[in-house]
Formats: sequence, structure tokens, C-alpha cells
Amino acid sequence: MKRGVLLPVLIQDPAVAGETEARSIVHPVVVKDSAGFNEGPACRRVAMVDLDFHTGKLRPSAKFDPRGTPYRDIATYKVAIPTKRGTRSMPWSRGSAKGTDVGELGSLPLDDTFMKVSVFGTVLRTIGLVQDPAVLGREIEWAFSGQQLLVVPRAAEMDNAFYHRESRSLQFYYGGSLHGSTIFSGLSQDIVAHETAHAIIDGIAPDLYDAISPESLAIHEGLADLTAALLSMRNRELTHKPGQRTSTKEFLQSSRFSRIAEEFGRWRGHGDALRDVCNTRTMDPYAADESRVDQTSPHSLSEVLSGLLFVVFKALFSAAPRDASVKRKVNRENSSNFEAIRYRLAYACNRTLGLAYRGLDWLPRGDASFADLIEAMIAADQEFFPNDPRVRKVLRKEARLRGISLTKTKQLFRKLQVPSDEPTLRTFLEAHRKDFDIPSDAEVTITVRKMHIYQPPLTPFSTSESFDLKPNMSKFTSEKTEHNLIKFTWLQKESNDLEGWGTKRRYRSGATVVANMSGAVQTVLQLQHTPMTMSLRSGFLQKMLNGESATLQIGPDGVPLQRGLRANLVNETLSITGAMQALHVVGEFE
Amino acid sequence: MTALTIVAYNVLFGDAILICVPDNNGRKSVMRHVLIDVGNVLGGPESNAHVFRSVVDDLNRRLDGRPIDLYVMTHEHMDHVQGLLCAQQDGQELPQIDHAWLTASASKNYYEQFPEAKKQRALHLAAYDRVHRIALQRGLVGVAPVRAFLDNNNPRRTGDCVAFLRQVARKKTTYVHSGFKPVPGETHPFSQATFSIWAPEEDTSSYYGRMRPVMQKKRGTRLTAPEGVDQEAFAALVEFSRSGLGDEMLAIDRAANNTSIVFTIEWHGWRLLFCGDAELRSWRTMEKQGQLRPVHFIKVGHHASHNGTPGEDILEQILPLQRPDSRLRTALVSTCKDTYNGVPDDKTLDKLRHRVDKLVQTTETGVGEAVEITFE
Repeated sequence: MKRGVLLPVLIQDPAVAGETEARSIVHPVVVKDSAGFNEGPACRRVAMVDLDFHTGKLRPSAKFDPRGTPYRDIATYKVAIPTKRGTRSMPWSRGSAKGTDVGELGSLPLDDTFMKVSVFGTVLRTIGLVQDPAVLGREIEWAFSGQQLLVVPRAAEMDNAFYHRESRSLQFYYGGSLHGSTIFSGLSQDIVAHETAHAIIDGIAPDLYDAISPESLAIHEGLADLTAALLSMRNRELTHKPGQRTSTKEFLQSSRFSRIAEEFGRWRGHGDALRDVCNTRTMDPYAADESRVDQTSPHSLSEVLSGLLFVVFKALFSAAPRDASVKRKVNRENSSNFEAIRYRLAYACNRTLGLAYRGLDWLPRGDASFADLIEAMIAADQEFFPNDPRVRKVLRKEARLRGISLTKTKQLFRKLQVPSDEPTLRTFLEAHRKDFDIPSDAEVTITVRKMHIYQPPLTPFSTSESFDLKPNMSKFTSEKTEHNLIKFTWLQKESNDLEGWGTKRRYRSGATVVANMSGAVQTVLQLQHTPMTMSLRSGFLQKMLNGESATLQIGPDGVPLQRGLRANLVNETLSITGAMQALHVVGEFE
Repeated sequence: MTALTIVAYNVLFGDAILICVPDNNGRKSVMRHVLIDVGNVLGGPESNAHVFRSVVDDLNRRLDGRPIDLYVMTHEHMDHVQGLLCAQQDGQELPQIDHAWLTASASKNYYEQFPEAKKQRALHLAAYDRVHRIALQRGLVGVAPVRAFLDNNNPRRTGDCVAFLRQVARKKTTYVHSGFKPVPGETHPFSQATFSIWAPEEDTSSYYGRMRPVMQKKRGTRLTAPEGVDQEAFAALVEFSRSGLGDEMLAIDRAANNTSIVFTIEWHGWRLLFCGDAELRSWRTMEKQGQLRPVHFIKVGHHASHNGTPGEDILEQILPLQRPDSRLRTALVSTCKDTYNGVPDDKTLDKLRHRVDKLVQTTETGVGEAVEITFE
């Protein structure tokens, strides 16, 4: 069995491909996994299921071609890329100057195999990007049971695409047309990366899925957009213009890299794109109209977070030439202007995504705000890069500019030792319940996970794209880098001002303790709940609960409706689950 | 002839409302009449002709040979449109109608002017056919709420009724939307009462929500997971793809409801609001457009379902707890139990009772008979 596959991945929305100067709109990616790959495509972590929701038929799988490449251990799938100039085969050469320009994509029949191979490749690339030793450095677990995420590349006609936890799937829909071609959300790299990021984020911070605070749901959106934008920076075919010096301007301003889902956005009347991570959006209520966001809308709010992190990316990209690891790499390889820029891009993307995803990893469980996430990012960055405060400075400054108030991280356990086994931890917790502001009657769930604090390799070995689905961390970690990530979570009650929905409501809160293996506490993080976060919850719930009922709603067919949002009123206390699903699958609220 | 009277008929599940408005054209006092809708849904026209017979008889008695001055068809659902055609086919003589207002999208060439709405409409028609097929496959067409849904949204039957209503007015038929300014003498004959149109938007494409198509199970086939795909995950995906039939039915129903004409009549200081079956999207659009005003009367939307009456934030703008004047407030609910699940919705009725002095329901009277509300 061959352990790796070479996948052709579409990197530019078809309708806007003709407007861009790029060497090719298809990017070759090599993915490896010890368990190998199957027809479908399918592998241990991801499987394409080309199920037509209209007819209930499964479209044929993409056939595996073990001898499709000249490389040892690297197979491929039998695909033909439909272009406007006829069918092309994969640009097999991975050499930077030898790729085949496939020009613009031609119209795709619904049973073509290229789309499913391309979507598969983008999903794996997104996973690889986050799992990279430079970013999270571990294999991500899904939020559902089982190891495999299913992906439906063209489920049916609808203007939507979403991650759905209960069916363990990403679902991409299609409809409408631009320039005479049907718009497939699965052909948008941004949309596929964005939805994959939702699945990844759900695996890391599953409580955000059922949060009732708009900022918690916006964390999902903001990080998913950032991931999509930074993935597009990794497309060598887009960053390299044939016969020209690559300019850095495009990476620092609003451009095809920072704009999310151009084709889909144009179709749905959102101007140039659905959203743009290069923005000046702020939560400051006194800011100018064009910068202010609707704080009860997770999608609108998310631009504050993605915009803030994009500023961090830009600062890192500008500073990269001065970084020793980038300098060393560029000099040693005697790189061209284009290759040097690719190293800078990889460095800035890795550092930014590392900051974001490590923060998410350390974020206490529950209804977190942007301030909570930024505190977690700063805390993790401090431990991973103790001698490099630049990013933390930019983050603090940008948070202030965007109306996010940071509070000081609690230092109360700095001198304490924490146990690592659950029974002793519970005794520890009971002794410190008040310090954590845990209500006396709240039941606390404790989780402990081993993790490593190490020096991430920010500059990649080479600029070609080849990665293993299980990152090899042996070079970076050892017993010395091992730590415990301890999380406490409980249900918190607050008064409920939504008329007709009881007097109290519940949401989840939590705290994180990071300790070394001898039990010495290094960091304590705790979710902060302020009158502002409470009022934003009210505004959001007001919108979400319009037309909802506390009792299970039954459809005309006698089956409970799928609306997503589940409101439950017991003893005048309101509990809500499924807000994330309601926002995405139904999408009636925004 | 000093009181304005609203006459709301019990037509089972549907609307049939007559408004008798005293008017004075400067020379003499007259009683003018506005008729809203007339339709119902419970198994199609055959079984409901008797209801419309009583309604049309009562209309003719009250009009005593005078015409309906203005007929308003709020939206294209059988429970709002089928009555007049049904009564005529049953051999009844209908009253004369001078002016008619039909919702903008009922115009014959509407979809040629609004291509996005045309696309959405086509998707919804296809969805209706698919839902119908699935309901047949699953043996659901006999279930009362499913049957009511299928009848109510049946595009062919509705099309016949709307075609009839397009030519029912002897003077002028106008296709109405929120930008429409009613001109006395041209689109209605009223001198003292004034009309204001709050909804729908002329381009109705924004009223169509997302519909996730429900997968049809092919007879005798069992989907098995392809090689290399987790069986359990695949089963969960197939289960999801086959679920949501009820949601799809409601999405189809909602799209037409949201095209309802929502209008007020202002007369001698009273402001009376008639909102067809407008649902949340329409209410939100009205709010955004700054249309909402405090009213003294509301014809509760969508038969008092949980999704036809807006949330407290919007209700506060039309029925504020801090009242702007001391006039009585009334809500009218035209409804019928056991047609759709949870309609009328008790919580919605309680919400309304909290804001009005009187809540009148058509179920308070016998089938074919009417309840009356007067304003002096």
C-alpha cells in the first residue's frame, strides 16, 4: 500500500480565476498517512461521500491509481481536470517552474471526479495546516465519536455549506450561476477551508458549538475565516506571477488573499466577497458606522477577530526578513525573490495560526469572549516564545484599538502545586472553589490532557507542500516539554431579561490551569463574565428566540423540527443548545 | 352610520374579513366595504363549499346590492384565495367588486420583472413537488397537517384561484407592495379612511429562506457505505439527509406567507392593522424600513401560529406597553384548532392578551358565522 497521494487542488474560485494572474489555478499537494488511502477518495481521517440528496444516489468514487506518479510511495487518483481548453491531466511536476497552467476551469458535470478529489485535498490541507508542528503540533480529535469526517462535495441545490456535528460531516451545496457556470460551494477553496476549520475548532473547543454568547460563536467564524485566508497565502501558484517579481503589497492589503469566498459572495449580493479579513472592524460603539459591527450578530462580530489577527499576520510578514530562521533559510537556498517571499509567508502564517490555535487550545471551556481568547493566546505565546514579546504587543495594541478590553490573567495559583490525577484534583478544586468563582451548587467537570510546550519550527523545511496526517513531533518534544492542560467547567446561571423565557438562564463557564509535570502552575485562565457580555447574550437570544418555542416543535409530518436551536425552560431557567447549528444549517437568523 | 365594523367569519382554517367603513365624500355619507381574502384549507374545495355559501350569503345580505369597494388578496395560499371562486363554481352570485388589490407577486408578468424571485419561486415549486412525492412515499398524505400543507400550497389550484381574482374587479386591479401609495378615486374610493402599505417588498426574493432538500428514499434500495467509509458515520449522514421534511414544508409555506400585503386603515383616529400571514422575515423587513407604528387593532398573522406573531421587540413597536393614547386595543384571531400542529399557539395568545384589552377569536362563533368588532 502506498502511504501517500498527490492531489490536484483547485485554489481559486472558478468565476474569478480569469481575473487573476496566476501560474495555475490547480495546486499539487502530497499527503501521507500510515494507514494509506482508499478509493473515494477516503483515508483514516476524511472520506468523500458524493451523495446526491435529491435522488439518494451515490455518485461513483474517484478511482485510486497507485502508479499515477513517478514517485515512490506516492499514488494518485484517476482524475481529469475540465478546463475551458479541454480536459487536462494533473500538473505532475512538483518543481516550482514546471507546473502546467490549466487556465480557467470549464463546466463540471455533476458526476465528475475532479471536484471530490480537489475538495478532499483542501480539507486535508486545512487539517495539515493546523496540525503542523509549527501550529498545534498534534493530531486533532473530532468533536464526534469516530475518527472519520465525511465530506459531501455537492449535496444538493441550496446557497449554503456547513459543518454538521451530528452527521459528522461537511456538506457543500450548489446553485445559481456566474458567467454561465453553476456555482459550487465545494469549488471555493475559502469555503471548503472555512467549513473544515469549523470541524477543527469544534474538535478543539467543543463548547463553543452550544454557546449562547455571540462572541463565542464569532470565535468560530473569525478563526475559520483567518484559516481560509492564510491557507490561500500558501498557494504557490497564486503568489507567483509568471515573468514578474512578486510584489508583497498584495499580502498586506485587501486582496484576493484576504477576501473570503469571492464567487459565492458575488452570487449572494455581498459585493466583492462574503467577508474580508483585512478590515478595520471594531466593537467600539463610538466608532464610525462603516467600522462598527452588529454585536448581536456572530458573523458581523467575527470580522473584528479575523481583522485583528490579520494585523498580527501583517506585522509578522513585515518583520520576517529580520528573523534569524527566515534569513538563514533564504541565504542558504540562495532563493529567488519568489521563494524568499514564500518563506516569509510560511513564517508569518505559522506564527499567526500558532498563536490563534494554541490560544483556542488553552481557552477555558464555555461561553468565551474575544478578550478571553486573546488572554489565552497571550498566555500560550508567553510560554512558547518567552523571549519574543512582539506578537503579544501587537495583539494587545490591536485589541485596544478594536474595542476589546483585556483583563489581567489571574496569578493566584502561581506558587501552588496542582495534582494531575482526577480524584486529587477534585479535592484541590473543592478547596479553591471560591478562587475560581464556581457557584457552590455547580457540578464541575474536570479534564486533563498531556501537551507539550516546545520551540515550534516556524520556517518550513522547503516551500513545496507535503505533509503527514499524523505530525511527527519527535524532533521537537521530549519528556522535558511535557505539561498538563487541566480544564474545569461548570454551568453558571444569570438572570434572564427575555420576556416569557423564565427568570434565569444557563451558560457554561470554565477555567484552565497549565502545569508542568511536577505540578508547578504556569498559567491560570478563567472566563470573564461582565455586564457587557450578559447584555450581548440578551440581544443575541432575543433575535434567535423570535418565533421559537420552549416546547419541542413538531412539523406537519409529526416529526420534531430540525431548526437547530433547542430551547428548554425548566423551573423558570432557560437552557439553549444548538446555536451554531441554527446559524449555519438553517441560517434564518442573520 | 357612525361605527366602523370588522366582521370576521369563521371559515375554519382561513381568513374571510369584511370591514364596513363609514365614509363621507363631502356630499353624502356612505358605508363602504373592504373585503379581505376569503379562503380556507381543509381538504380542498369539495368539502368546504358550505362554509363559503354562508359567507357569501351574509355578504350579500349586508351589502344589500351595493358593491364591495375594495377587495384585498393578501397572499397566494388556498386558505386566503379559494373562497370566491369556489362559491361561484357552486352557483352562488358573488357581490360586485369595484377595486382589487392583490399582492405584487400575483401579477401575471411579475416573475419576468424579478428574475431572482423567479429563480427562488422555481426552486420552491420544485421543492413542493419533491415534498409531495416524499409524502406519498412515506404514506403521509392522509395525515391532516400534511394534507393541509399540500392543499394550501398547491400551486395549480392556487393559480386557478389567483387567475380568477385578477379579473374580479370591474374598475381596477392593482398589484400592491410597500412602496405603493394608494390614490383615492384611482385605486380605491375612500375619502375619509386612509391606507398605508407596510409590506411586502416589491422584489419578494428576500422572503425565500433556505431549504435543505430532503432525500427521497428509492423504493427497494438500501444505501450502504462505500469502501473505506465509516459505517456509523455514513448511517448518521443518511439519516440527516432524509430528515427535515417538516422544516422543508414550513419553509415553502413561509415564503408565500411573507409575501402577504400588510396594511393599515386609519379612520377617525383609529389605526387598524391587517397583516395577512406575514412571518418573521417580513416583520423584520418592515422594522428595518421604519414602517412600524402603534395600532389599536391587529388581525393576528398566520392564524396565531408561533411563527406569525413577531417577538416582543417588534410587538412593542406596534402594541407598546406604554400606550400612546387611551383607546381600547383589540386583537382578532382567525383560526381553527387541529389543522396544523400547535395552531393557535397558546403562548402567542398569552403574549397578545398581555398587550390588548380584548382578544377575539373566530372560533367563538359557529362555522360560517361571524364575530364583529366595532370602532366608534
